[in-house]
Amino acid sequence: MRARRFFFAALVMSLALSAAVVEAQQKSLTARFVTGAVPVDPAWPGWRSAQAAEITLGPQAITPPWNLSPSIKKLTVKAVHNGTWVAFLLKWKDSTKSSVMYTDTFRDAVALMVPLGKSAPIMMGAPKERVLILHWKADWQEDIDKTFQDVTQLYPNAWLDWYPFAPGEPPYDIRSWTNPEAKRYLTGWVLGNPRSQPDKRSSVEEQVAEGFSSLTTNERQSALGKGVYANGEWSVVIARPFAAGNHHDPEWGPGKSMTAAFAAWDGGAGEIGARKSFSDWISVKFNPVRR
Amino acid sequence: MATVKNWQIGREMEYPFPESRPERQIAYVFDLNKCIGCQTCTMACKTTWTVGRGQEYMLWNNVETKPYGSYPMGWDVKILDKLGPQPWEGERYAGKTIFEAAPPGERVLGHMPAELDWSHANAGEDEAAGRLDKGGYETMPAHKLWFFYLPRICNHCTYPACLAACPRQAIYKRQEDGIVLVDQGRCRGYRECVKACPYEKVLFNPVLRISQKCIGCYPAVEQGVQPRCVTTCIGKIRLMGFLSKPGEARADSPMDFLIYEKKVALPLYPQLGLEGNVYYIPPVSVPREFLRQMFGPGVDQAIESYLKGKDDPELLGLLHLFGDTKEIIESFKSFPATGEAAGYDKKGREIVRVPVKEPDYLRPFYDAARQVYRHNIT
Repeated sequence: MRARRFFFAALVMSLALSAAVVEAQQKSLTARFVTGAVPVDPAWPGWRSAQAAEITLGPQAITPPWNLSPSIKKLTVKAVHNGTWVAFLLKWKDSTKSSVMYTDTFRDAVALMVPLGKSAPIMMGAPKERVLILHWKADWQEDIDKTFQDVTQLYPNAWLDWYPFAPGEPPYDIRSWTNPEAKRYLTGWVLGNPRSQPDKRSSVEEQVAEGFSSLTTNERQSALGKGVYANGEWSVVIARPFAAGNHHDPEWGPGKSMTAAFAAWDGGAGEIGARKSFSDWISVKFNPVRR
Repeated sequence: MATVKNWQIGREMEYPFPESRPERQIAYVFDLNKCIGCQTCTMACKTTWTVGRGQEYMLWNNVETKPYGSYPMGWDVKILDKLGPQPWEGERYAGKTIFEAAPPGERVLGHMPAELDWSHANAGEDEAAGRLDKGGYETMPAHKLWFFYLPRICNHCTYPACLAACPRQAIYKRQEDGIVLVDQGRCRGYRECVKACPYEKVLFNPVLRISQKCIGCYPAVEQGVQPRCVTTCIGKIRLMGFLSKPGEARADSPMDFLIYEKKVALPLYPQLGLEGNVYYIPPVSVPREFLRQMFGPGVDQAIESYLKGKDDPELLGLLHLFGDTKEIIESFKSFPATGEAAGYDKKGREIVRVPVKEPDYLRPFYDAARQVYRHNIT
């Protein structure tokens, strides 16, 4: 009973915080129509003329583990579309770039969430009220921009003579470990866990959820992204086709309106998973196509 | 939070999930009086399971020297310090478990080791740091100085803190044997489990970016074979078996006999509330205060039963079955008339039979046939 009262108190507190968030923030965002390819680059000059929305993020205090004092409290978001693709530019201040994960460090990240039906609960959806979540990760960006963060990159002075069945020679590169005997020890890679794949194709993971604990990677990955850290600020573009050709497409498109929510993680402050800050639903309007 | 029964602390406690005991529960007994810290178990585990990329620092099995050694650094003192002084009232724990002491918004009171904490297993242990001119620091009836080796693996807890803390429910406890596993496809490397496990037996693989842990050698266990750390132990200090549910003990089950009936083997830090399933026979020459903090209030009785073992044919027989077969001993029997003990598999087939007392052989000091004198005649 005590636990239930505690949960109820937590929920009330969280909803109160969410309400405060709604009051303070800009409630709508307009995605401008652009011709040509949608930019997967924060440096694209056209972003300057796109409308900016200041999105306030609040603490996550609904499901444990909570994050009562989040590090990131504000995002600046812009959006454009070209009729078939939509791109979001997300900017936020972060005094430390965290893009490598050692055993005790975490990476920066940002995500946007869109209902797959008319609407969905802000708590990562619910059964039969699924959401699409596009999650950009700084460590995946590092894998793409530099090279896969293998032992050689993480610990340049490390030396190990031998791994069973491993092709090559010290210091080794696991991308060449394609034989099943060597891969036996690379569990996440063999099982298709996107985190463990040495060859990342995108820095954005496309996922669906129907409530807490249910986050699942989409079989088809169509989202693209690029994050750049400069002058104490992250600038991240997340782009996706309106229709990726699967049943995980939101009801969005030119001339339509929908809602989106945003979340951010400061790896330097130990934020990961549920330890995040997030926004309420924001109204997003997609301008019609102009020929 | 649900209310569950934890027999090791003699009371009910709060846990995020309802009580769900597996059909069979893997359990181990380690006799700390016999461990010589040779690390054969550590190397057997290391060469079997953690020779992959990103696992270089990992020891799913480790042996540390108590009181000062620890891997990762200070795992035990740090969580005990966070929990603070907590009372036992006889057999009942009146303090808070790590689930009950969890801060608001957390499922478990945890501690996240720093990377350097993992970096020097056993460094400085068993090495003299300097000369003590003022005599022994500790005063003991039989020994001036004391230490002992503590071999550690995952406890495959009845109430795992790692499982409780995972927001993705990527950790599960198998119904068929109670082994606790991290789903390597589902894990996202949040490390809530690394922080939550007070024994620090879930480790992060920074290359694969997911968490990994002792798997109880389940491919062997599924074949009726004991885990690698057990079968390779040259000191024969370990026995693995299955522990019945509380109240359903079988007299001929090795684990039930040692843990429930004779109470010679005790859980590690039962006050943390996880109902771990690695049980230790406490070392007899260590100050009791230290052992009581570590193994709970059953220490005195455990040592008393153990020391009486020489006059207890059943206990003595079972202790001689440690390390004598790689197969899992499901039941055992002692034969005082012939001075033997035997172990049986699931089908009741005899898999091992050992003499409890080795026969004495006395040879003459002078061997006339070879015309030599013997230095050792027994």
